[in-house]
Amino acid sequence: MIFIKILSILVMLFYALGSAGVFWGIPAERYKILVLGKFFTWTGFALHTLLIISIILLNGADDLSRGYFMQLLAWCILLAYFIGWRLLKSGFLSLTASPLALLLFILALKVDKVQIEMPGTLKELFIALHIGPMYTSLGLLTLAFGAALLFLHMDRKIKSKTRLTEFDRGLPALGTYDRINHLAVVFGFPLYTLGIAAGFIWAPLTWGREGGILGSWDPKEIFSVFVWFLYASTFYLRILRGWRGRKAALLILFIFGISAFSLLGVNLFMPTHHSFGSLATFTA
Amino acid sequence: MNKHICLVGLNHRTAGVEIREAFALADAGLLENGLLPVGAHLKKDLPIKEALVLSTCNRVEILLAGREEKLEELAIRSWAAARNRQPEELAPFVYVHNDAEAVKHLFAVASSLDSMVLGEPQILGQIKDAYKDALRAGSTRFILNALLHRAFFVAKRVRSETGVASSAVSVSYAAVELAKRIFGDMPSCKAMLIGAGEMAELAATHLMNAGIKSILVANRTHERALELASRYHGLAVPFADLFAQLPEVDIVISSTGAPEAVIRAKDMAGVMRRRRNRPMFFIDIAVPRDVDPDVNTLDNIYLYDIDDLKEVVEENLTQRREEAVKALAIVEEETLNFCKWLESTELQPTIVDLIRRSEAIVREEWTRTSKRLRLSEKDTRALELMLGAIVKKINHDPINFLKNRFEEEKDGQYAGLLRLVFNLDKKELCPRRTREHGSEEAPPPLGPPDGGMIPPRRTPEPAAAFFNRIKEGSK
Repeated sequence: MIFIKILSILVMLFYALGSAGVFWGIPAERYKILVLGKFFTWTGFALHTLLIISIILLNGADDLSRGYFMQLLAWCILLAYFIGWRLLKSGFLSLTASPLALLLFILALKVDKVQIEMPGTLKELFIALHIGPMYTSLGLLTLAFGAALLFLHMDRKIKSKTRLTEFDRGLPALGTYDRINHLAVVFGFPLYTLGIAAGFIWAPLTWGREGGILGSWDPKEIFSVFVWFLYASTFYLRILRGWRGRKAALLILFIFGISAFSLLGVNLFMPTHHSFGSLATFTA
Repeated sequence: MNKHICLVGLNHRTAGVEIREAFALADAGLLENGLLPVGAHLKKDLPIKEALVLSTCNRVEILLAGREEKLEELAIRSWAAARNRQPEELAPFVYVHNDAEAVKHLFAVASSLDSMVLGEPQILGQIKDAYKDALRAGSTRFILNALLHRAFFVAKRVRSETGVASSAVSVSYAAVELAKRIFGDMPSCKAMLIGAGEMAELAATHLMNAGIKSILVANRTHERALELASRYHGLAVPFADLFAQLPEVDIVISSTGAPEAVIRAKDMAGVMRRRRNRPMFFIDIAVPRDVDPDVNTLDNIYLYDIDDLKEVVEENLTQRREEAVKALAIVEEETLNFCKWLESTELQPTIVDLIRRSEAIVREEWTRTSKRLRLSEKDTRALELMLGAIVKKINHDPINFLKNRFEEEKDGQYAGLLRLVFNLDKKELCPRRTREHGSEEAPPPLGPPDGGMIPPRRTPEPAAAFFNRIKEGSK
């Protein structure tokens, strides 16, 4: 267990260094520091991968805590960023990736002891249909969030005809960010729908609930449904009404903001079966 | 520096266009026709060993390498003669750089730091062509070959490590760069020319080069539209159909002579709906403007007029000037490296000879001895390894001595001394007599005839004179 502890501290340290590098490097336009920040983040990511595998190997897959799933989410988001970074070749994405990973990782350590109650029936199917799609859509959403920030930044610069810095010149074209946004909507929304549907199917199976869907008025569920409606309208506006560019970017920012609050704020401060403080099933 | 590099030339700063025309050397055949006496080319021992001629519309430069100073006078004389002028007419416009300064100048020119438009890319190609010509004429050898390759390397380094050549410095190219920044994927973009004009056509050419899909042309006189369309393999559309075509195009270059705006924000709302908000880029080169500035307030439409583009160009030029400072530091660093390297090559032949000589002795003795001993293969190998190590260790200190002293004493007299002490030139040892009479008889020049990849050796100071000087020095 000491191995896990040391590894956890190392991962946290590297994510912290990575975030610091990114936060210092980008506004100050210090590219070497930015590169160093990215290096730390990806070193942390590699160690994190090792950590996730070792926990499974040491503890077994049946005895996973809430912290483990939280860690897994941090890892998934970084993975999405890694793919996005390869596709976009843009270091700006790590501006949101490293701090987010750090935040989730620290939370994960905090709630590490909270055991989760997994559904007794069809546990593997539950993971495949609820946790998997939820995490993937969240990964896509954060990727689109970074891309949306970048889009708004560059859109403003090109519209207002202000001088591009050396950093701006290294960024991809506006069209690239819009494609990421498209990706997050086209794939993210169906995945989110699948994940949330699976959640509502398994919830009564696990907790034996009366009153049907939303019968318990759990804040987490309310927020999830709210996000789903937002996501659905974005899907409609983007795919069917042809919203693009600035408005599409703003929509994604909004959805991401609400989901982040639902993930962190609700789980931490409100009584819910997804709570970090009680014994309940953990989902994103 | 014993090997001299010299550069004579004139450029847009030192000479007006009439002078540059009068003394252009592009077709003069300075090297090919032997107007400039170059040793490497004519296979003779001449003061100028190597030469290269660069002649562009903004500069004429002659790069020389040789073993004597004042190469420039000869070069200027030949240069003037090649254009049937007097050297006096040419001399006031010419700059002369020697050794390190010449190297630095060449590096700066190759990196486009000395160009009229800072950072323009053509000059490197022109130097490469000049070098090819020189190679064809056979007028470069060891020094200029190394120098030119280094210059290409420095130019590449400057290009990749600084932003000297990174951004557009012409209005039409700046427009294309912006288009790339908006769309990214140029091959899927369609462009439309509204009206025609020199700058609009230039921008269209740049867009074609960037690989856009197709170009539409709309003009009030349809014949002109047809003519332009055929030039860009595009399609001419009637001017009246302008708004029907707009939903299909991504980039609009407008330059009509219309007295008021042709495209207004209220016209664009419908267009954007029909193209499902795909982004559009308007380049308005016309004065008075063709596109109402209001259009820029719409989402997904970007509008740049001629003043905006000029401002972008001005900013880019400022940025290039800032980057030039960084580039100059690279040039200076590389100049220093090259000069150091060039100096160290003076020692190379002596070091090689020293090692070869001791190896020859060892090999001779070893063959003689090994014949008598019936050694096993393993023992033979071990002994051979040992002999190799001995050669290295014995030569280690003399070589180190040479290298260290070389830094402080640039005459290279120690190399000469070493050659004499180890008799590297396999001469009869100097009879005592010559020593007593001092340097009445200078030894003949050493080393192979000029040329080849190994640089020629310098003539060493006669040993007697050397010892005398040492004695005097110690008094």
